[in-house]
Amino acid sequence: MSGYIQFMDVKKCYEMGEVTIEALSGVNFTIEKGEFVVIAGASGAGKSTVLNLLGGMDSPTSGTIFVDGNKVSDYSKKELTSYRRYDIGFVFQFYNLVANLTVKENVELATQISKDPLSIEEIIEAVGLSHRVNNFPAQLSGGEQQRVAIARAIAKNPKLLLCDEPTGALDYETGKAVLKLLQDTCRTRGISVIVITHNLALTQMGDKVIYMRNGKLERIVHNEHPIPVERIEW
Amino acid sequence: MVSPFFKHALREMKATFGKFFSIFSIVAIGVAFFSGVKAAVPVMEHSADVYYDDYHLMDLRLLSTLGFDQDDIQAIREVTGVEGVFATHSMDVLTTVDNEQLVLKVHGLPIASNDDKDYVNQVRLIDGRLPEQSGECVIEENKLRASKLRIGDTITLDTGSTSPEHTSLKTKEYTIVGTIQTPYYLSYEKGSSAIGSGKVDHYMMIPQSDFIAPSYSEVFVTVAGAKVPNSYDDAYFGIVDPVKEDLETLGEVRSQIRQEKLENLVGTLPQESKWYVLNRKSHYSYMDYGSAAQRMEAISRVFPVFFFLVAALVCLTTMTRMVDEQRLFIGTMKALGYSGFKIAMKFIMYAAIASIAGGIVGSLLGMWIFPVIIFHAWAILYQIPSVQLQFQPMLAFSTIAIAVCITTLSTIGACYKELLSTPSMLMRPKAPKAGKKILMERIPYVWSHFSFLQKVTARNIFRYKKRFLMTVIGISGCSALLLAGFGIRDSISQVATKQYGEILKYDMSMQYTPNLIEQDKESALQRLLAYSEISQAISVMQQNGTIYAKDEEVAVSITIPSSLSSFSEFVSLKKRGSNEILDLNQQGIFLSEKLARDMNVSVGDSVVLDNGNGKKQEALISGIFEFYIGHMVYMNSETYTSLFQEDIAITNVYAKLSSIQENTQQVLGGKIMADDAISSLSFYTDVAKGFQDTIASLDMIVVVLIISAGLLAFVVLYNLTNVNISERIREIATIKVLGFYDPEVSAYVSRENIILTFIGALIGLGLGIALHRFIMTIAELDAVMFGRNIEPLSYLLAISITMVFAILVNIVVFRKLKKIPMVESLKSVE
Repeated sequence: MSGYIQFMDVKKCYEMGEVTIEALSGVNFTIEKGEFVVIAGASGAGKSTVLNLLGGMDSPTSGTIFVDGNKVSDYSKKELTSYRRYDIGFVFQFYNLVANLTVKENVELATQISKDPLSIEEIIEAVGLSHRVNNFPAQLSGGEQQRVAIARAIAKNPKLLLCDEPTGALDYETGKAVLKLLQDTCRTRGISVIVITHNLALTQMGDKVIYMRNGKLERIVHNEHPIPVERIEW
Repeated sequence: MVSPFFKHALREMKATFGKFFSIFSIVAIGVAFFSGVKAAVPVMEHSADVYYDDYHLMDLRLLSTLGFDQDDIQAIREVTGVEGVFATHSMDVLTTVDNEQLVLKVHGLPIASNDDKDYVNQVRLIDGRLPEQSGECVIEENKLRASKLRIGDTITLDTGSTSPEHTSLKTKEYTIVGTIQTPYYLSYEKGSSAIGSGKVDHYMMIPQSDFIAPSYSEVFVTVAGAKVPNSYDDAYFGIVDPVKEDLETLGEVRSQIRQEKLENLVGTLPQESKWYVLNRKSHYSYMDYGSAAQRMEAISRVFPVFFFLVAALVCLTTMTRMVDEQRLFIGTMKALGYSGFKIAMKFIMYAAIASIAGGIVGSLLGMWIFPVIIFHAWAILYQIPSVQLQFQPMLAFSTIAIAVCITTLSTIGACYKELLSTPSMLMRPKAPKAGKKILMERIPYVWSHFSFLQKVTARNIFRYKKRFLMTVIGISGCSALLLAGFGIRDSISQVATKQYGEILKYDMSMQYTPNLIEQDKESALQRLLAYSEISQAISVMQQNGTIYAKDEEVAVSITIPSSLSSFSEFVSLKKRGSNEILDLNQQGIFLSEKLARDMNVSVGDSVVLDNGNGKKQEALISGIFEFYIGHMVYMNSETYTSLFQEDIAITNVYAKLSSIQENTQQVLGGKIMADDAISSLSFYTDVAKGFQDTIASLDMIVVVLIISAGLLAFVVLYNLTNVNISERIREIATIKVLGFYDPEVSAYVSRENIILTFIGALIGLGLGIALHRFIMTIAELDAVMFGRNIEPLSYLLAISITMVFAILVNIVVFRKLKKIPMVESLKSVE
């Protein structure tokens, strides 16, 4: 089994006092470079745990994770930080912009620490916020804020773009626009994009869809012809 | 209805222990300082009063121009309210110890039991025993001035020059059998004398029966019931003063009788008989110590304002954060129908419980630690056997009440906005405080030179004004306390080095034998100059006088150099802060700085000068010079002659030595004392050394100030970072997710703290200078001027120690930051 990203029998347990909760109980999958992957499932299915392990925010209890030939599952805390710094872009449901920084500065926060960042102006242009460069987050709509978050994630020039319910807090139209931005990014820049959602309608847009339930992989579906997000209705 | 609420508040304290602890500790520190320093004043007074009572210090002292006879004493005894009566003698005599002439005050000591009510002004035996027979004496035990007199030594008194003149002693030779202390002399200064240097150096006590005198020179009286109130309270004088008035009335009657009796015996009298009845307000030691205690009162008015301001700010920031975190709770309670008042009660209760707990701990510790330390600091100057601690419930209660009011008001200030908004608004997350451009960004030149992270820091610093204020004020207090502490040491240690190094440059002073003719003095000077140990010498006139200006009257030492040409090599008179030596050629008189300040006069004013020979003349002040110990008047001989119409009479020689080694001094001293023309000599190196020793005891004050400063810095910084971290947890988690390494995350948060600390520390230096001046003014003794200088090293230390405190707090923060979980922090909406 070979792939750009490999999850091999990955388990993750949390100790909650005296009780041990198994969030992931042996998960296997691969993701190719440049793929657009949707991870779907009900809440508590283990989607976020997969994303956190993949994003280097946490280490698995057992099992192996390879990303681009590197054994991420063996990384130390510091190596995980470097991994996040250079290889990963994160987009969250609640944007998590720094309130005290302008749009441009929020993006700069990421490029400051990257090895090979993209041009800030270009990225902001690409997410369509050139006219908002000097605004603070509080002056932006939710969709605009999420676009800043995406710009911040992409600007680092990461290998992976990980999105945890990126449209969860957005209305229908705005959500659609944000997803389009993610899909376009994947196609034009060749970055692997992994999106978590509980909205099953969105599964149609993924090259690959990973269904999860109760900490286990339910099934993996390959879409030969993913549908552009504009044509999906929900 | 209150009960679940109360439970909730209690649980809250457990869950938010950091916040609870912030309020608790700042209130504890504030209350400890306030109540502690304030309590020190009554403790000082009470400790002295217990000493006065235990050793039967006189309530009234009676003097008479013609002395008291047995009938007078009997009459005094019969006055209502008079309890103990001790008629005794005292006289000033000269003695020479190790070539140095000293003025001794000799008191009579009854050979009586301590229970005898007529044994007034009892003594506290420190070492040896009390005198039992003629020719034995006890002398004062003084830790300030290492005395050369030891038990077993014999003192020879020079009874040729005594005051009063008609009193004499059975013997001139006294063997020291013990050392004592007495409440009659608490302070280092023992007042002035009509003989010798003009100042009493030591006191000694001899058996009462050793005095030979026609009558008693003074009578000490205790008043019935006067021991009950504290003698520094008005109630005390309410008991003593009626007796004082009765004795004054008696004095008029008795003076009349005595005068007639004496006139029948000897014819006309040189002076009228008159009684003086003096209460403790006329007693130097009592008043001097009382004013020291009152000066502490002034200090206790300054510190608390500051500490309570910081407490208010700490409470405000903490509670604001807490209210922000609990919007949902407030909204839910409102939706359930709780009134705003009831909801506010939760927060008020939280702050009040923290304040009351902090206040109780603070007042208990403060009222114990501070009075003890302050008492011991003053004990360098005043001899009182032991500190008498008093718990002062009213003070503790009112201080805690003030603290609770302050924190309650801060809490109301923190939550009133939330209480006014609607439940639905409260249940939605609060819009994060919008980013804003700061003033600095409008100066493109400055802003464009900042790195990205510097810009972030700059914005954050100015974004949270309350926190900015709290940190800057708190930290400035910290460095101000440090600077004042180190400065106190600098200034006091400077007194000796400046006085005996830079101003008085001669190494020894000798006194000519009185009544020598000028030629003999001149030839004696030539003999002195012939010694190889002496490199230079100058003769001067030194005399005790008095200055009068406005309502003030101050005893001074008048010095007139015989020649001005080389005088500045012996005494360097400069205006403080200037390098220019004052020109003594000018007409008019020159005053020492403290003297001028005490008399409230300046250059160009006129004062009345009594030259000590009974001539009073008005003199113009031509200059004021830097001088630390003693009240001095300098002038040239022409000025003296034209003022008082008499020639100067040389009394002393100042000399500089070619070597200041101790054995050189001893050898030289021995040779000079063999010269009949010289009656006494003193070396100044000893004096400077003695002063230096006292400075070591000041280290304790410095330590206390450093500890206080450290506590203040820790509480403020701890609170700041606590609030900062909890409020910015998402931001911190975000940058961690972005891949900032731990030290980078820490720098991102700490940089602001460090900069705020630095700004605070700098402002604190300014405050510290003011605080230092204030403390020095208050601590200053009568005739001593403390320096006002602070060494550069002290500034450096104050800043560095403050920064070390900040770094220590940041190390704690660093650990905390490492533990922040990214995933959990980012998931939830605040």
